[in-house]
This record gives sequence, C-alpha cells and structure tokens, in this order.
Amino acid sequence: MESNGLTRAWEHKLEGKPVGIMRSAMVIPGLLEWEDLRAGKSAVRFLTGEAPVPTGAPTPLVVDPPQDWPFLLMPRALGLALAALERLDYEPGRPYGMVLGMPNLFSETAYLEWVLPHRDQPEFMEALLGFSHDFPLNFLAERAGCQGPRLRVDSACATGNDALIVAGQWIQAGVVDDVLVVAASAMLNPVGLALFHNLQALSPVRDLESSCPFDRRRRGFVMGEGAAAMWLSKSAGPDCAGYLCGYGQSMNAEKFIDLPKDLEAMKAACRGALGSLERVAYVSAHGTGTPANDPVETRLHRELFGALAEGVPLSSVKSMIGHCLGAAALIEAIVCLKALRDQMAPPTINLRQPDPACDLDYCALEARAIEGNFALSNAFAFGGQNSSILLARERP
Amino acid sequence: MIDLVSYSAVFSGPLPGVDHLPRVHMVGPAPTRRMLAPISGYALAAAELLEFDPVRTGLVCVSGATGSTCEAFDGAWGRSEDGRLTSAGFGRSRYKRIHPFTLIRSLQNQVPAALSMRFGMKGPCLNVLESVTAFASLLPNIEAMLSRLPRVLLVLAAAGGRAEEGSKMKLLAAGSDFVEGAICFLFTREGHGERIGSIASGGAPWESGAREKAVAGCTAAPPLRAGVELLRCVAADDMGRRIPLHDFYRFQSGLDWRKR
Repeated sequence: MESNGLTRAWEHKLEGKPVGIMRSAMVIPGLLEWEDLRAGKSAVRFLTGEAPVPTGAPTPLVVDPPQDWPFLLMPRALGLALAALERLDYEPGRPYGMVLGMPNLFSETAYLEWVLPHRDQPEFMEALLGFSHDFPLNFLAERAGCQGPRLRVDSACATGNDALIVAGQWIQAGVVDDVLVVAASAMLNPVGLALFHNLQALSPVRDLESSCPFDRRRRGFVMGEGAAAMWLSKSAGPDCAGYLCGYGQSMNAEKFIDLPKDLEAMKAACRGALGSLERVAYVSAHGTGTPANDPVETRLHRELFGALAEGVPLSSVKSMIGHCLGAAALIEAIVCLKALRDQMAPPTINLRQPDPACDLDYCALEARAIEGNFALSNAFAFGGQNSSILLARERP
Repeated sequence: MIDLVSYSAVFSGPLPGVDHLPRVHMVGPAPTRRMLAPISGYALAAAELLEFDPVRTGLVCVSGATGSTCEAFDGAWGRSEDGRLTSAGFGRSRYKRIHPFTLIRSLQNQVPAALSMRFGMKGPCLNVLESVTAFASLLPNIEAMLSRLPRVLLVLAAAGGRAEEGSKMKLLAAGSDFVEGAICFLFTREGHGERIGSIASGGAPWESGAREKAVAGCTAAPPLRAGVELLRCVAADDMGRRIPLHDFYRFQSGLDWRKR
C-alpha cells in the first residue's frame, strides 16, 4: 500500500497500545438489536403528520425528562443519549471522562416552537437552556458520575468516529483510564427532515425499500434517529468487546456537501486507520444511498484495497436503520464489533438492482460469513470531514 | 505541554486588555452570507491574519453559536395559521420557505469546513462544541496531532450575541452584551522552534457542582473566554499564570501559562 509523507502524517496507529472497548449499547430505529440487523430486518416506516418526505426510520421510544431535569424542555437527542447510557453496562465509581457526540440541537421541534416567538425575551430562555452551551454534556456527565475531562464533539456524520478518537487519545495520553463515549441524534422531525429535503439529500420515494445503498433505485438517504454508548478503558481484559487500534482523519478542502473528485484526502483517512494492513475482514461503509456517495465509495474501496478489493466485503446498515446522522458512526462501530465477534457481516438490504457503477461485494440481502480480526469503519461528513477507525476483536 | 507560536483574533467589539495586541482587530458584527454564518466569517478573518502552512497544520475548532437561526424559519413560521411552525401545512408546502442553505449555515462544523476550503487544509480535524473548559480538555488531543504534524491551529469561534443566542446569554450573565469573534492559536510541540510561551493543563482534579449563573461582566462569548484570558497573559507579559475555567454548569478546569 502506498504511503507518502502526508499520509504518514495523518496516520495514528495504536498498535502496541490499542484502547480497550469494554461494553457498548445501542438505542436505534425500530429498537432493533444486533441479531435483527444480522437477520436483515428493516426499521424504515412510512411517516405521518407534517413530514415533508414519506419515509424515515424512527426509534419508538418515548423520552420523558428525568425527575432531576432542571428545565421546562428537554432535547429528544439528550433523552436518547440517556437511554443508551442506561443500557450500557459500565462500572459505577470509576473516574470516567466523557465524550458526547451530539450536533447542534436547534432543529428539534420543541426548541423552535418555543424560541421563535420569544427570541428577544431573555426571561423565556430558561426553558431552553438544556439545548445549549455546556448543559447537555454536563448533565449527562453528572448523571454518569464522570469526574474526568469532558468534551462534546460535532463533525456531522463523522461525529461518532471523532468522539472515539478523542477518547482514545485521552487514554493513550494517560489523562484518564476510562472514558464513556455517547452519541445521539434526533432530527427525525418535520424541521430536521425539511432541512435535509431542501438540500435534496433525502429519498422522496414512497417505498419501504427507499433506503437502498448501492442500488440503482436509490434517490437519497432515509433519515433515522438514535443513540449509542461505549465504555473505553486502558485496562481491557479478555472479556472486553474489542479494541480501537487505529484512526485517520482528513479534510477534503473542496466542497461543503458534494464529495470530492480527488479521493486522496478520503484515502488518507482510511490509510491512517489501516496502518500497514492490506486487508480487513469487513468494512462498514458510509453507504448513505445518495446518488453521489455510493459510486465514490466504491471507487475509494478499489483504490484502497487494489487487487484485493473484491475480496473485502463491505455493507451499509443504513439500509436497515436509515442514516442516524450524529449517532451513525458510533452505531456502526458497535456493529463492527458485533460482526467481528460473530464473524458475520450484516447485510445491505434492498440491494435488488445493483448499480453497475457499484460492483463490489456489499453482502447483498443476507448476512455474510467473514474471517479476520479487523474491521474498518468509515464516515464521510458534510463539510468535507473524513474520519475512519480500525477496530479489532482480539488484541493485536 | 504545548508551545504557542503565534496568535490572531477578530472581535465584534472592544475587549479590554487585548485590543492593543498585534493581529487582534475589531471588525464589528459579521454578516450572514449565503453559505456562511457569522461564526465562519470571524474564523476566516482571524485565520487570514496568521501565517501558517495549511498542508502541514492540523486543525482543532471550538465552535459556539453560529449566529441566529430564527430568521431562517420566519418565512415558514409567518404563514402558519395558528402561530406554530410545524402545524398543518408545514409538511405540504410551508417547509419550502426555509432557505435550502439553512442547514449548511447552522452546521457547527462549518468552521473547519470553511477554513479547509479557504486555505486548502487537508489534515486531521476535530470540531467540538462550545464550552469554556473545552480548551483544557483538548490539550491531549492537540498533543496527539502534534506528534505527527509540526503545527496545530486551534480556532475558538462564536457568534452568540444576537437574537435568541443573545437572549440566552443575557439570562445567563446578568444582562451583559456579548462580544463575538474568533481567536486563532498556532501551536507546536514543546521545545520546537521559536515560541511565545507554553500551555499545560491546570485543571486536575476536575470538579463540578450545581449550576449557577455566570459572573456578570464576562463579555466574551463562552468558547472565546479561555482564549481571551490567554491573550491577556500575552498582552500583560505574564511570566506565569493559572487560568481557571468553569462552565455554566460549574464544571471546572484550568490552563497553566508560562512565558518563554
């Protein structure tokens, strides 16, 4: 594999000091579990009410503010984050750090309905403070009993990977031994849908198979919502779920939304994560199902793995749970760990009419047996931010 | 520990103690542009004042409020029959009155995106959301980037002084008017090349407590405060100082500054 000075500069191998991933938890569309994803179940549903598009992948969980919530309104994204944290089996009492991956909450309906008529009235802003500044991060950190450093990351669709990278760097630096990483997104509401639909990013097709990455019928992504949580630790034992072994980050420096023609920056992020590996057992594709993304990602896969490309399976769970935006990458990291544990890649469902420009092994329609210790998970975000992580089942 | 090589800043209004520094300019309130919110305008203007190699520099951003988002929804909201944005008709037609670039202007990672596109920065990037204490928590991450690249550009930026964002700040900080802007710091590894001073974490043990209103008179938007205090150390020619930092939730940390 080629490596030039710039690529080496972006490479962050953690060989010799991989970071342990002790436990993980997901709260995802349809309240699906890993076994459901293996079986190819879909959480995509027809939307009702004032949704400007016909389909989405909702998480059927009513989120009520906890008793100690101090404000009138609570963000749904924070409620989903709390739910994921509650499902995470972490040991209380450790001096955890926390990294929260949670983009700007301005598009939540409750927030906008309140702020629009009261925007110039400071006395009405108390109700909204839970959406703003450091409150979401610190509320979550206090609930988890965190005593270490804390940050809230937002790099759009790359948020989950970047949150893991931040946590891994803290542990490697010896700042803290244990970090809780939580990511959440709840833009599946009329406003969130409108914002993406006005950019022509969403599928307008009234079809429960409208989330169809790599299929010639794809017209855009289907929006999901959800949350995920992980416990990372310096002192990972044999019962841990896996390891974070490498990562790479880069920027395209080209366009805000559209993917670049020159894939060098995206390749650099992937190579930064892969290090010296020439192949992996599985790649969790970004796989949004937009007309532009999927052929570019196919080309990227071929340029990364060369002659081995067709033997490295990749798939997109976004075909089943839609695109959960800020939570997507952390959800997909958990999917990678489960895939490595079971040696089984989840399918790309709805792939019935393959796009001729997308001609790799996407594990179409059914889960696929895989072999190996490593998985690569890619996230390519609006704003041209690329973030890739390498995960392992056994300590390398 | 990381070393400060250079700095620059732009602000919407005067800030005592830093106004006289070179490469610190008062530019007035930044406008909203087609695809760029005011926060990116400040970040770009501050970075333009700095000399750095965009190819061999990593990027870390702490971004606050991008600007006001309410006005983007006024077209759709104003046509509602019952005063609610998402009432009947929103999903059929009123949503089309929200400008297509609203999402782009509201994305928090537009700051690194804008810097990347303007200067051709292709290296690693990290974007975190506003908190006063973020600077301290980020030091290990900046050091990790510096283990591979000779320079890291840290950009603190916020445009939280207007409309609903200004109203929130007035509630939290006893009626102060807030200065928006961006501050750029160029860092290198400890002991490498010419430097102004060094920064280390002064925050352990991390502490937290119940929420209190912030102290009145803190006139810089939250993401800028740590940077403003650091600029004041430089301006005052401080040989060494502990800079305490605390968020609105009273999570506390700090920075240790030493002049070289």
